[in-house]
Amino acid sequence: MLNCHDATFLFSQGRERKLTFSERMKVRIHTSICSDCTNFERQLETISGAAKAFAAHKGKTDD
Amino acid sequence: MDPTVRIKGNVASATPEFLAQMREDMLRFARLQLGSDDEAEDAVQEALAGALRNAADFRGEAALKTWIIAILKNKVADILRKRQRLPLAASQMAAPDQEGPLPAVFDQRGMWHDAARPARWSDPEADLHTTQFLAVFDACLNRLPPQQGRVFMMREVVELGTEEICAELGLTINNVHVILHRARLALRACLQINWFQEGA
Repeated sequence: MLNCHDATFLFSQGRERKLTFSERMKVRIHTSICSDCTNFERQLETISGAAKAFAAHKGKTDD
Repeated sequence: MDPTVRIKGNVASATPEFLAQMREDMLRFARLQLGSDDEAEDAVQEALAGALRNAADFRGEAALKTWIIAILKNKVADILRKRQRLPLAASQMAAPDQEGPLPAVFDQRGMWHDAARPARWSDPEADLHTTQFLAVFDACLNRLPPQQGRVFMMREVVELGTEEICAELGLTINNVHVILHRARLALRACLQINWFQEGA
């Protein structure tokens, strides 16, 4: 059974590589009982969007 | 910038203040990615020259800036890819502490500490482009160990693949996965405390 540390590591890697079938099953089982890690997974997408927004816009109202 | 303010212009007609500020931002971005002042200067210079050559009209300085940053991003990716064909300099080899610390968000059993549990973020997309949010993001990014910040931006903004990042920084694939995990944990925690939390 994955703990939250392991589950978040797999979610993070999922943004760089395709997780194996077994990994996907393990994280699905974990998120079915862990709302914290469900939130974490969603927020990875937000953080990625934020980084892109930051690079595109940063500084233009710094004055 | 107030989105209702529309300035029609191109690089040649942008205000000196705007260009100076943009150049600063571009340099910061290029330095973070390239780790070298000289190469960063060159990349920014070439990106600006390219933008002047292909001067197009933009509705507003924001659009102009987005466009020039995109040119710079391609330039930086080119430089990083070119470097991979050269032997790795000793100074670029991974130091033992390359991965930076694991943020203290988990307990001994690998479960979230109560204070660090990811809460629901309400309508997270709504604010991403506001000045206030971007300032918070900037502060959180600056708080990361430099290597974590650099790898995170290489991945998310320059959109290099894991192998390309490994080759550039002399890291193993596992190093890169660990660094990105730690960077994301730390950024997430910082954004939750300083932005998404009730009353932040």
